[in-house]
Amino acid sequence: MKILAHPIDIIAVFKEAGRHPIPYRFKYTDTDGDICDVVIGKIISVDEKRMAGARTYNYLCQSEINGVERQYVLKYNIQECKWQLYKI
Amino acid sequence: MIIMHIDANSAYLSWTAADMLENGYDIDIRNIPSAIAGDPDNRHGIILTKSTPAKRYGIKTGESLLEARRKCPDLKVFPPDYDLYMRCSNAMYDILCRYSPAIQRYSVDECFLDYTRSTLKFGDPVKAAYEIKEAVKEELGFTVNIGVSTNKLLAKMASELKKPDMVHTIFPCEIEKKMWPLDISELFMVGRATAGKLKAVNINTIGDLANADRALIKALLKSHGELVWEYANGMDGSPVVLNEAIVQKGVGNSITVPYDVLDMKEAREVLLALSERVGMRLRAIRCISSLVSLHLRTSELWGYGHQVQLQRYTDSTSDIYDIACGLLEECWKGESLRQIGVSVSHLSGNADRQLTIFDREGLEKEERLNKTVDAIRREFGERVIERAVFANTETDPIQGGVNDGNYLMMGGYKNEDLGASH
Repeated sequence: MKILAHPIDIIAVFKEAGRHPIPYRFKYTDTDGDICDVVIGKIISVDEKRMAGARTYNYLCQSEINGVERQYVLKYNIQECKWQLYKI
Repeated sequence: MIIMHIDANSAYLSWTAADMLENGYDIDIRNIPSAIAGDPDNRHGIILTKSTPAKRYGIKTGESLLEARRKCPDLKVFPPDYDLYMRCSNAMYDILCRYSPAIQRYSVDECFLDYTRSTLKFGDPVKAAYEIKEAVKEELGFTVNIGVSTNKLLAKMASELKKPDMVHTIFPCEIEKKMWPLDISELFMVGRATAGKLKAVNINTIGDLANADRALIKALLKSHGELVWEYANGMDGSPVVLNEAIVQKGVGNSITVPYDVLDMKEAREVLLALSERVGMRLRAIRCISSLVSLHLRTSELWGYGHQVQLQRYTDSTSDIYDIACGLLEECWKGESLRQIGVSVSHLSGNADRQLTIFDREGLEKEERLNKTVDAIRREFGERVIERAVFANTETDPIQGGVNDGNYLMMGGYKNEDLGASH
């Protein structure tokens, strides 16, 4: 996986009992300029990180993108309330 | 007593590097000739920190960007990001809090930690220091040096020994071996001037100073001599003071203007913008002051100042501004000015104040106005309300401070904290 750190539009679920938001589906523009709409297949792990002092949740996820099962990392920056497609 | 001194290695640069790596930048700027420097267009173009490879080119902290580029044309320069630095500093502090409640934030990138009572829970201090070092590296992405010893001075000297990413000790039995061979200028509180005076009497290493006659050093350097002599012998009784316990003695702000100030009108504008900041900060710590000082630096880098002791106390922006203007008129000889600073001291709590028959009229009204303006700025942002003088001008209505006011560079207050406590 390569770091992309690309801001994304996302739909996430904030559950009453959950510790962190759960990403549901997101949109991003790939290298060819095509817009991909990805529904998150499964969340494999969630880590809370504090790299360079920024509190984030990093989600290792897996989905079918353009017919291929791929793993990628979504990142939620808690202070800025922003989502990124962090690695793919 | 067991004290640790934790020091982030080339702080600004490694924090920027960690942040850039985290955001997908493919080069670690710590491994190439790079530096953090202000904006040369605003005349803030001095090197704030440099990487180890840049150091090899002879680039020094504090020199101008132009000089640095001459030494190393490939130097990569990045602007400072004070929000990031505060965030990294806070994150480092949070990690330290796991090991002891007694932490003194000595500066944005340095902390003293009193480990004395933590030994019962966390065991050997050196082992704990390694744990802290690794935790910071692993979790935050930058490296620190940690010095371990029996007092603050020795801990600080230890953390300066060899960098980066190391743990050192200088326990009293190791002073002779580890500290005494160092050059005298390496000793804490020995600056260029003191080092020069000591070298003139053939005191070249810390060991030379430690073994010199205390009375002789006192005769040479007065009370400061006694202090450095004690430091050279590893003596320091100062405790780790929590930042909340430090009493603030003054508030001051200065600004290096982007272009030289030549006339009184311009100078007054800058003074007003600085007085706004100083007044806001003074009221935020709920103090009033009875001493106002003005500092000027000319374009030839020659500085001088003037101050006045008031017969009353004030925390009003307009009052501070009026007094600063008076000082400016008295002392400014009309040279072109590069830097202007306003500061206030002799503080007292604002809960009670002695009124005098010479008080200006409308003082209470002005107090209420200041309070309201402060509240509006806290709620909606600093620049939502400004003095009419600044309307339709290029001048920033509030000036001074590295982090746009929201700074607790050291021992200060965060605006949010104050908002919550009001």
